[in-house]
Amino acid sequence: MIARAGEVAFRRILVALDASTPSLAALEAAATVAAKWEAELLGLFVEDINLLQLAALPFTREVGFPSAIRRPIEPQDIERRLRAQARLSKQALARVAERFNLRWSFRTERGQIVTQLLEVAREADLIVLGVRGHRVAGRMPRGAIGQALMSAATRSLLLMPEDMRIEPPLLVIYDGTPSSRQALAVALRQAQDGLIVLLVAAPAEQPALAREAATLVQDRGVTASYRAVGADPAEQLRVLRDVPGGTLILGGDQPLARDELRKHLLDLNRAVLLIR
Amino acid sequence: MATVQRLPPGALCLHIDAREFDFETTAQLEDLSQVIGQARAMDAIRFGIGIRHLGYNLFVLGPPGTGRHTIVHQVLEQRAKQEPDAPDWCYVSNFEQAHKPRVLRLPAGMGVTLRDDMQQLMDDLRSAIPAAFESDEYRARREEIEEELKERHEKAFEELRQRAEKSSVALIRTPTGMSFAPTRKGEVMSSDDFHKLPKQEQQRTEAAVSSLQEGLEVIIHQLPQWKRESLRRARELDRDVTKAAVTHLMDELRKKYAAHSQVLAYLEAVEQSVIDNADDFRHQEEGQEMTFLGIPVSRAAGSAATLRRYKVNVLVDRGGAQGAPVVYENNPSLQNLVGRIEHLAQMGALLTDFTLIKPGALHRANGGYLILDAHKLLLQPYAWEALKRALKSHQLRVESLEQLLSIISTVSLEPEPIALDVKVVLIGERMLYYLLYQYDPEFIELFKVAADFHDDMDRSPENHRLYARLIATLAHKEGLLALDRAAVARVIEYSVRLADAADKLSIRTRDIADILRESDHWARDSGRDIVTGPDVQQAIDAKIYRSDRLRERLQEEIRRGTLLIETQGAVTGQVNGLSVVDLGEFAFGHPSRISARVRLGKGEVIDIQREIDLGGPIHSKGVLTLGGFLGGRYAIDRPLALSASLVFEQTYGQVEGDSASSAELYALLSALAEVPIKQSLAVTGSVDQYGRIQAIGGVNEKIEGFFDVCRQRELTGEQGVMIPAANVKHLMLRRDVIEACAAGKFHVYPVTTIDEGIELLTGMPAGERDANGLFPDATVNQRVEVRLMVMAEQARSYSAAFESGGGGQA
Repeated sequence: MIARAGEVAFRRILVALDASTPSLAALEAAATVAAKWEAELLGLFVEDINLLQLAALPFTREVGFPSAIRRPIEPQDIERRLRAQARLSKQALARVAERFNLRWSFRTERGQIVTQLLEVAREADLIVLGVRGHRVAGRMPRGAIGQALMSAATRSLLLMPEDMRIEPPLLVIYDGTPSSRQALAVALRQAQDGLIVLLVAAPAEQPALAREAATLVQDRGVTASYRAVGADPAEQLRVLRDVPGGTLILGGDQPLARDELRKHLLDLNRAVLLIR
Repeated sequence: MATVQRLPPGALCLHIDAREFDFETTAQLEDLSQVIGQARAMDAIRFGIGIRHLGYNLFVLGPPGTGRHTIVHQVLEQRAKQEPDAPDWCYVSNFEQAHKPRVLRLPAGMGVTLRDDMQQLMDDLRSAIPAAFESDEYRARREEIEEELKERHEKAFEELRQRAEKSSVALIRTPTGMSFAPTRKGEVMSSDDFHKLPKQEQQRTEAAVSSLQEGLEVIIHQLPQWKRESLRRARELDRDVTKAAVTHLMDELRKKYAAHSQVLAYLEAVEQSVIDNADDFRHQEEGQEMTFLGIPVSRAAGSAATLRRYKVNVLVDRGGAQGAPVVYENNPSLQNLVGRIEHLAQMGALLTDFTLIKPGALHRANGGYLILDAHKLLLQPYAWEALKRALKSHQLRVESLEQLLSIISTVSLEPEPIALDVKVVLIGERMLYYLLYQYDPEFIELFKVAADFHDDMDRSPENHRLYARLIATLAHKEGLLALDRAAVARVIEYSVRLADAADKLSIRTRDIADILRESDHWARDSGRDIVTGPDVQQAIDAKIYRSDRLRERLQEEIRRGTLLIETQGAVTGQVNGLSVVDLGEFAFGHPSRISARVRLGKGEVIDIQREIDLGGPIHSKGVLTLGGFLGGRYAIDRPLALSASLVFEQTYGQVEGDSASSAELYALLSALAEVPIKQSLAVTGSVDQYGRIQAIGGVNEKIEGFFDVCRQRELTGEQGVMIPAANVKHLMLRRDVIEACAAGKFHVYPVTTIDEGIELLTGMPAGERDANGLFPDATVNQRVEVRLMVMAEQARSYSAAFESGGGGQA
């Protein structure tokens, strides 16, 4: 299932589905990657235990957003809604898989969302999760699951904002570490055309690093452009906000993927693929 | 018996002697600078255009072809040059009420300048405004506003979350909103676990959740308000940035148009609108046309369309023109007069804006003169009423026919009316003038000046010279060959014939110009470089030949005996009358047989033409006059016990006019007196109740018509035509007729009374009453009177016998 150390391969891709717009974007992205890697799609719908328990409490009320209307939550309503979401998710998965000509399976689990995702993710090489864009009020509800997965998942993780697609040019931060080499390898496999390589090295080492990256790139016959950035993660984040291009592919051990910084990745408003 | 003398050949036609002219060709003559023969009309036109009071518009009336258009144009052009320059008129957007575009009145030529300036301003704004919004300063301030909103949100939710945490409660997202629930180890507490809690704890939690929900509601309620505040601040920032970019550009324009308050007010409105709509300048789709299902939609949608509102629609551009405008509208339809609002079809809907307002003739002529053909104007639906409305209100409104009639209901405009200062010159025939005068009460209020054009002028040696110069001018203007003296003399003769009076000259310049053009053609055809008398004659002959197919056909039928006309011998109760067929450009005469029969009756003269509705009212008048004559002359003291019937033989169409009334009376007298009438003579002339012969029209054509019939049968020397003596001055006969008369083969007799005529026709004296009041024996009048007396007596006897016979039959 897992490729040998140093090499990454996606054979089974887990995509978290809940019939929401971000999850459908994630499904589309997962299918795009799966088609490239000839992988199987595994759809998972988690019946959120928190919601069910919330509904079972007699005094809880739902405050509508943005209507601010307070209304009771009935367990049977939540059950029904979850069943409907599961059905819609499965249908969406079937449609996309058929369009991309992919093998697929679907399962429904009940429990804590993150826990269930991590559990099922053990059977997969890559987790694909949709995250909401900027529309949700405040920061609280946004990216909580994404952040939790970034912390806890041992598998590669693709976080897809709802209005994004996997599209060239892909972005890779290359610093010569094995982790960044893995990221570059995945990018080269995924990129059809166009790759932007951000080279992180002291000025003196940059030519050597560029040559190294160029060698890897040329082997795959991909057109790439190179840009030097400083080692400061804050600067890297600034560059990542401004630079054109689509999905960022990042090695799991690279500085930006570390605990204190990775929450910023969600603010880049671009898809992020974390290679582990 | 006083014999009527035939007219000498010299009286039959006016002959202009070429030797009276002291030039060789018209090339030596100076062009006429003044109009000849129209002094009255010219005075009226000068008065009409000179007077500046309201309602003093002109109606130029007169027959077509008298040079009305040319003269009116000339006079107006001369006058207009001396008048102040007319202004430009522009429509611009009304930013407050888009459907009511505003009008700008600008000095001549400034409209286009303003339009170009506005275009340049838009081009400048399209780069200046986006540049201002791309500045670091703007970005920083904008982010500041957004960040503030974000912080406000976060702070509110964070405080709520902290409050929740204190009570071991978590904020949970639900599919359609948010909720609070007690948690344990990060998970929502199950119902069972919750109920296992101490009652007090449960109550505390419930209270906390309830309170938190209220807090959440308050926050969610406040979110839109915060958003609005943030947007308002962002808008203010945008306005400040836009204003900074716009003001210095606008200042340049304000300086340029400082003397024009209307433009300054417009620029003020533009500035305000640009500031309010800066987004239109920031997001552009230049170069690409939006389409939907292949249909372009960029006009109504998108910023390019919205920027149209800053355009200037120059309705009237007087740049480069001097003085007041003189406009002639050949097709005076409603829209061509008052302008129109065009529409664009957009996805099946019709859309418009102020740039689609198009000017009419009144717009173009505003500040000057508008010339219109009355007939064309009246033929156009609603145009006359619209013209009157505009002239009465002194305002020009663009009115669309569709809206006037409510045919379509679509988005349309109500452009601000334009102040109208125009003098309208209507050109039309007299009949139209009098009809309008009679039936349209507003007409005389608006067209107070009538310029009446003559179609002829007096003939005199001085006028001959002027006429020669008119011919020279026309030939010169048309680029025709010069005419020699003989040609000029022949043209003047032709003009006299057109005038239908030997002492008049026709000033229908169109007809004269036509004959000059055609003479030029024949002269060139013969290889001459000068037009000679024969060329003019050839032109006249060819013109007649082209038109006289019908005359030839009638003559042919007479020759073949289909139409019965006798030209020799004598017949009782039958006379050759003469009538004219007018084909518009060409008229010809031909004889018709008129017959009369009499019998005992009640004193009526039956006009068979009238009985079958083929006689016009004037013809009937002529016939009824006969009864008056008979009764007045022969039966003053006894009943007119006569029943007479009169008929135009072999006519199958309408007979109108009273020119045959004398002929009918001769036939009637012949029938009553039983005296035959010479068929070698033809008769024309109307008669009054006293037997006096009155003038008629078309005398030349009538004589020529009978002459042609006689000539094709051989002229006997007896044949001729009796005409009213009053028509002698109208004689302008063809040369062949004059030659026959000079040779004594044909005669023209001027007649003043019925008595003269009947003597000529019958060879019997008419007779005058003697001292006893009786006509002498063997006179026509005596025979008529006796016959009528006998008839009256017979009538009396019949009446008495009927009455006594009726009583004795009991």
